[in-house]
Amino acid sequence: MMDQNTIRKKITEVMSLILGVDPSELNENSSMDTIESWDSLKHMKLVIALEQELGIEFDDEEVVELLSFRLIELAVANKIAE
Amino acid sequence: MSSTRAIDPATAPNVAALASAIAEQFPIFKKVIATRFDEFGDDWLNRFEREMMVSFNGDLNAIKNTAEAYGAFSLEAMRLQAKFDVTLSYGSGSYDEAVSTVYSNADYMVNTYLPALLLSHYLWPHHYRQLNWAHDHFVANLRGLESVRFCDVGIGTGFYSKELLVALPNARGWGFDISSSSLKHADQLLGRWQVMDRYQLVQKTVSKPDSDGFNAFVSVELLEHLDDPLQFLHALRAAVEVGAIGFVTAAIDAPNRDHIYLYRDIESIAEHIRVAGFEIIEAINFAAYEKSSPAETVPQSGCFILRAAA
Repeated sequence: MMDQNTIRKKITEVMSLILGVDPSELNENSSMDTIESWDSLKHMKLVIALEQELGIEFDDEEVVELLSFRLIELAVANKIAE
Repeated sequence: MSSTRAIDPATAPNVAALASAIAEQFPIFKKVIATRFDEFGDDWLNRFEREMMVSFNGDLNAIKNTAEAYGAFSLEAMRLQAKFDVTLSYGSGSYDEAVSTVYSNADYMVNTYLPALLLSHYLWPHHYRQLNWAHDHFVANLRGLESVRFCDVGIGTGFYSKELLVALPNARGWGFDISSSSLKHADQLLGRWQVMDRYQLVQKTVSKPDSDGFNAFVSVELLEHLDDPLQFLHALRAAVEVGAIGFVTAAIDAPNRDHIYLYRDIESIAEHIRVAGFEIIEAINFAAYEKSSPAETVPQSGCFILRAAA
């Protein structure tokens, strides 16, 4: 099972790639409100990239709740623990 | 941090209420209205507010339900697009299955499909550009006619019929659709715009009128819903007069639960149109957004101004 640091690293890599921001700019408070490029289209690409990278799947109710780095990290950890 | 402008509730109360409802129910879409406002400006806002005012007139519950419909519909479309990037196939089954699961499913049509489609004319950039192009290149051409008798085949919400009847006081229209829910929605929409006295709804695919023929025709994003769009185009050609002017569009690379026939480029649509007996006067392709990689597919609208050939 992936540990928390590995999960965080992978989320950072995916978010950086999809949202076009430097990894150093990302922290647990990063959200749709703080990253201008994070719109609905990028959001869906981010969700799908996370699903592929981490081998998990989010349902629609979960997809609309993944609004910040912190919320993504929590949701991914819960998925992996299932 | 966002550079987008907020909608002023004093200027556009219905659009502002919609923006709040979307942000509350589907936060991932919370930037969509401000982004479109930035992109298309005051004219877009004024038209959208008028549309919302006529349809909802400040009914916050109805606006909330419409926001929910838009969010659910858009989310599904985006999910399907991601799958389509891999499969390059709609995989939606047959037209008969779509009739059964979508067009005859009153709950889905009334609560999700039709309200979401109505909003898409303003919130999906390729749909709004298509609307503007239709006005500039099609409606403008019809203004010179002494009288306009048009058919709109596959009316959906009734939106394009409404646009024509409001813009052309000398026009009469016939709207064809197989879905009871679509006919009812169009009846309400055109009634609210006070143009139903010049319009008839017909629950079938398309046919010649009993009296004078159609000298204009509209079919917006119908072809991709059919098993055999060429067969439909032949029927449309048979229903309109020689020289009739039309506006026809079809979706390209745009998966949806009821999209059956896959067009991958505008030339494939053009080929069907020519074979069916229409001359292409003008054509244009609008994309929903820019590709971020060569492999990515992007939903598009292939739009045509046509003339029925002899």
